[in-house]
Amino acid sequence: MRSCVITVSPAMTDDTFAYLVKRVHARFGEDADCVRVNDADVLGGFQIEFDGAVYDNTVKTRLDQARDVFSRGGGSV
Amino acid sequence: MDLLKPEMLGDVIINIVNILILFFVTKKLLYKPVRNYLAARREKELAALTGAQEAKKEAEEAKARCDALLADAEKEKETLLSGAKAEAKAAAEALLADARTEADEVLRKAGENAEAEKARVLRDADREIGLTAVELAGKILGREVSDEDERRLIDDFFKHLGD
Amino acid sequence: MTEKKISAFLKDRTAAFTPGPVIFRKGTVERVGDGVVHVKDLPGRKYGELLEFGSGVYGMALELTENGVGAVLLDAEDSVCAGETVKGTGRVAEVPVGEALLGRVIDPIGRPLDERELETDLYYPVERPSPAIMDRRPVDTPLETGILAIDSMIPIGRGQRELIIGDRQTGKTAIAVDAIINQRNTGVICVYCAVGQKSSTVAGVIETLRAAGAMDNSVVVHAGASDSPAIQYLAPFAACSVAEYFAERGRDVLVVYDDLTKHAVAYRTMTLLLLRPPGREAYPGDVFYLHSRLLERAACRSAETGGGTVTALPIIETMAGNIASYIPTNVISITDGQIYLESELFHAGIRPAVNTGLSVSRVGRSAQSEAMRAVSGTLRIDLSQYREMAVFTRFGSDLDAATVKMLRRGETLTNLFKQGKSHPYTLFEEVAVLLAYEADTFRDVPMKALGAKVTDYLAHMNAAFPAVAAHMNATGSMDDGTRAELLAAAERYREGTEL
Repeated sequence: MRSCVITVSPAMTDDTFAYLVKRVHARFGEDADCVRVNDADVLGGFQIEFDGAVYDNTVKTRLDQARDVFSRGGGSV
Repeated sequence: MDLLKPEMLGDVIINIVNILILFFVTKKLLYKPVRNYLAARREKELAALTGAQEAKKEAEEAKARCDALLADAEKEKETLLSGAKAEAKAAAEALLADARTEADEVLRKAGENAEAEKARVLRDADREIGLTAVELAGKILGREVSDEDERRLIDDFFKHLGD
Repeated sequence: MTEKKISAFLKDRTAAFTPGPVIFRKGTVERVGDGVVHVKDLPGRKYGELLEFGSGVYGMALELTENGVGAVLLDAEDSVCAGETVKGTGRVAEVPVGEALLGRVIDPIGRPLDERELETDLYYPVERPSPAIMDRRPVDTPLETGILAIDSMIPIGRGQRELIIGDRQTGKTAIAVDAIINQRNTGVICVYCAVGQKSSTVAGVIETLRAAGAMDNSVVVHAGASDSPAIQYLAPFAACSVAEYFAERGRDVLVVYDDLTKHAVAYRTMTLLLLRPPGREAYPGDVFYLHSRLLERAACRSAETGGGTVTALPIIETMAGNIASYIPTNVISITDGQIYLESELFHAGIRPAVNTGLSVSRVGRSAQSEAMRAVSGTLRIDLSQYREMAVFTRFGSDLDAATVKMLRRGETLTNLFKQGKSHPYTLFEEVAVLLAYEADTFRDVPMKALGAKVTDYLAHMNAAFPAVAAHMNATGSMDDGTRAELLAAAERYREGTEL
């Protein structure tokens, strides 16, 4: 079994989380051992850490992206 | 007629010979030297006079030259003075022109800086308004992400991955 | 009006904003120190990849190991701590490119250093492949530096790599800056890359370029002495990418790397901290490749690949005149010639202090304009004979008239090559000076008064032949009739008659 850590908002219902786990298994395989981590900072959405990769689909990250768009200056990084 | 008597004639003749001898001796010993002396003195005086005249002429010539030199110096002084005045005037004008150019440049730069500052302030204001909007959205979303929104986020995500 | 502007800004940014999930590979900081971070477990790690640490600090992966990555930080390491998450961005270091960079001062990753925002959307990777053989064409167009000693005897062509090498304080940067200043009305873009230099020195150079009106077509890429070794390592590559943008669009570009000695030292610092095995003089084994892959990107491109040129003037600092040491010999073997500056000549008042015996341009006279080629044929031989004969005169032997004349002309030529800083000659002025040498115009002029005499002579020639000067400067050509006319004018100048 490979570890899969899913970080979500505490407000996410169990049904919704179960739906998410089902989609994860469909995508990454049944051997993904999904563990739920609650983090109020994410505001909504989820973050999946699996196999060294991070799939960040949280609302917090989207707000950070919006913040970057408005505060963008020069530089490639 | 006593003079013509033979005893008197001898005296007369001797006197005449004496006078003649005296005349010739005087002429030789006195008259000629005195005449020579007088001639030399006259020549000396003439020479002195000529010398004085020449000296006077030279002095007058020297004076004329000095006057001419003074006149030239005066003219040169005037030329130099007017040249210096013109140069000073030109330098002053050049300095003034430089100062004007510099002042224009300073004003232009100040104008540019003011424009740049204004643009920067506007940009900062834009940024602040945008960030405030994002913060407000965060506060709203912190309370209002529904189950339906969550499911939509899940579906969109896996669609993005290509499922 | 302001509200409309703000509203337009918000709408514009909102329209351009498309949020989405972020996918990245993750690692953990194992240890950090001396600007080097060791990261554990970053799957899919790539060599040269940009890694993002917390608080916006970036690093570059340069050491791939079985279990992780050794990365050098591009910024201060104070905010990176052990246990921190590291994101692999999947992209390499990039630099912004484009017309917006003209007149600007940036660092190697494109952050502006001149207190103004940089608006550009196009980025090039700092490491790019050099043009292939079939994508190049021969170097055939001169790049006039405005320095008589160089343009006449060590001519540089557009697309050539010409090394400027010499001890410290011999005028290397001055030659490069003069070359940049001379491009101001020629359409040639200039990129000045300062590696490991003092900020005050670079500020002086920028001010010199600005005062000469050369900053408008120049870009300055600055990685100062207090910047991290990684930033100093990237600087020349970033400058070359900036130049390649213009070359791919048919423009001619001059890039100055000041200097590659400090660049090699920064690379050595970085690789020693990454625990790579040191080689000769503690440099890593690939220090030749460091400079060869940079300088090979300077090329004369074929029409199919843009048609532009990138001319490189790398600068190398030697110690005690030793051009046979490691880095100098490396770069000499890469470049298409070198301009060797000697301290003895500099201190003797011969400035630029070019040693014409040891300097060479491998592109040669095909990179010279027709006018210059017509008047510069015998200069090297004359100087060489003068130097040989000058040695014998020290013994005080009696000399015949021909030798005396040769010595006098040699001394005159040496003094004619002296030139003030930031005062480049136009092509017409260079040709006029060499024709004056041919006509022996200055034979009765004492050496101490030669400089002022040459200035006066050039003022006369410029005033007497404005149309000829304009034509020669624009086209580089000079027919036999014009040559004879200018030669006659030089002879009349010597006689003191009107031109």
